[in-house]
Amino acid sequence: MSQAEQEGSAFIVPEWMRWASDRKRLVLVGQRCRACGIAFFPKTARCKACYSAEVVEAEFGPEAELHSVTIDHTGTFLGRPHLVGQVRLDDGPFAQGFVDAGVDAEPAIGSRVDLVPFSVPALQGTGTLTTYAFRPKE
Amino acid sequence: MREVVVAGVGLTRFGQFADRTYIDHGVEAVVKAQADAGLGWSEIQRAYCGASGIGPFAGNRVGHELGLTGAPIVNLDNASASGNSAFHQAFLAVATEQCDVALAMGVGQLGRTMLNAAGSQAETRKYLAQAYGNAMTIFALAARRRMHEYGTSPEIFGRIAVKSKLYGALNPNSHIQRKYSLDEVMAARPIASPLTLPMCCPVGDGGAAAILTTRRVAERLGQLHPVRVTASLMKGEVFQQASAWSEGNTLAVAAREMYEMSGVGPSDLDVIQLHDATSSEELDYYERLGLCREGEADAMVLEGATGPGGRIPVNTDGGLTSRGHPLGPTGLAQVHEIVLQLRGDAGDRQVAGAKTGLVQQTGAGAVCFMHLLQR
Ligand SMILES: [Zn+2]
Repeated sequence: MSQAEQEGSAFIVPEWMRWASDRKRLVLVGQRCRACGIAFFPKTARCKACYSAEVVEAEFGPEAELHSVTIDHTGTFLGRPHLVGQVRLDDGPFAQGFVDAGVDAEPAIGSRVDLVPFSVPALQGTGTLTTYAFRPKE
Repeated sequence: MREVVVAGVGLTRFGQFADRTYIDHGVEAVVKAQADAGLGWSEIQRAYCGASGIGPFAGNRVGHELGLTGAPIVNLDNASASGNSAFHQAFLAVATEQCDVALAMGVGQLGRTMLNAAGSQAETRKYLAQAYGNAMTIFALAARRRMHEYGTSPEIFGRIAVKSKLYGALNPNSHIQRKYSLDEVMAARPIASPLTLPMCCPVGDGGAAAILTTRRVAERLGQLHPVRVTASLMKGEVFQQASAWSEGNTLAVAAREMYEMSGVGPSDLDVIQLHDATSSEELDYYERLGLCREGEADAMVLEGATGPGGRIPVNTDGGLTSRGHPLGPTGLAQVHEIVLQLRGDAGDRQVAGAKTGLVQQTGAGAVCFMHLLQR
C-alpha cells in the first residue's frame, strides 16, 4: 500500500489506532490506570483490574512481541487464507490482528514485529479501510 | 439450601435439520424429560430456557406448544453456556425453595453466526480490525502458544479428536457419528492451524432438557436413588494480565471454588463433560481442572487416560467436537450424559461404576459453569 493510499483510506476503528511519529508505522491507543498502573488495549470505561475511573489514554507500539500466530484457512474477511497474530504490547496488553506476511512466511513466536497499516475491504460498498497489522522485522 | 435432584432428562439428536425448527427440538426434549421423570407439564412450576442468538422468547415459543399453565419462563443467553445458565437457575430455584419442580431447557438453531450477531456495523468493524472472522482462531492461537511453551505436538490434539469421534460414534444423539483415524484427523481440512475440521466443533440444531426437583418429589415419583446436584457454580471472567487466554483463567478459578465448596477433589471425579470447542481447548482444561499437573496433559492423552477404560473419561458423549454444539442445548446435553452415566444407562459409552460426574462449560470466555452430579 502506498503512502497516498494509506492517507486516503480511513482507519477502520479510528479510536483504536493512529500514526506513529515516523508516519510509516502505527500505534494502538489504549489506556493506563493511575490507581494500579495496569495498561489496557482497547480502552474500557473503568480499569479492568481495579475498577478505578482514574484511567488515562496511553499509546502502545509501534513495536510488539509476537505471542502467537495461526493461519486462518477460512479467510472470512480477505477471501483467502491469511495469518492472524496475537502480540504482547510492551507495557503488557495483548492485541490480536492480521500479520502482514504470506501464509508460507510465518514469523516465529517471540520475535519482534512492527505495527503497520494494512488494507482491508470495507464491509459494505466498495473501497478499503485501514487497520493495523503485525509485520515481521527485516 | 435444600438438596436438589435431577428427576428427568431429555435430548434430541444434534445436527443440521432443514425441516425442523428449534421449537420442534425444544418440544421433543421437554416431552422426553417429562416422560423420564414421570411428571406432567402442569407440574412444572418454573422454566428456564437457554438459547443464544436465535431471537426473543425462545422458551416461551416452546411453552406455547406445550400449554399455557401460568408457570413463568425465563430466557437466558450466555453463548455456549446458555443451557448451563438455565440449569443453574433451575437448581437455585429448587435449592432456595422458590419452587419444588423446575425445568431447564435449551434450544439452538443454525443460521446465526458470530458476525451477524454482532449487532451493528461499528461492532463488526471491530471484529474485522482484529482479524477475528473465524471463532476457531482464538483457540488456535492458544494452541500454538502451548506448542511453543510445552512442545505439544499437533498429534496430541489429533488424538483427542480421535477419542471424541470414537465416543460420538457410540452416541445415537451425536451430530457426528463416525470414527476417524489419527491420520484422517491430521489430513483433514485445515481450519486454523494447527486445528483441522475434526478438531473443531460443528454448529447445528438441537434441544435438551432437565427437570430438577426435591428428594421428596423424586421419591413420590418412585425414584429412590436419583442423581443429586451436589454443587452448581457460576463464575464470571477474572482479570489476569499475564495470559491472553481468559477462558482458561476463569476455569481455573471456578474449579478451585467448586472443589472447596463441595469437598470433592479432581481425583474423586469418575466422568467429566467439558467445553471442547476444539480438541486443544480440552487438552488445556485437563490441567486447569487439576486432573494432572501443568504441562502433563500431553502425557495423559498418550496414556489414554481420558478415553474408554481410562482413569478419568472426558466427553463420553463425543463432546462439542462430535456430539455437537447448538449453543442453547449444549450444557443440558452435558447434564443428560452425566445423568445417564451415573444411572448406569450409558450403554457402550458407560464408565464402569461412575458415581461422581462433573459438567464444565465456558460461555464466550466471559463465564464458566461447574455442575457436580453424584449418585
Ligand atoms: Zn486499575
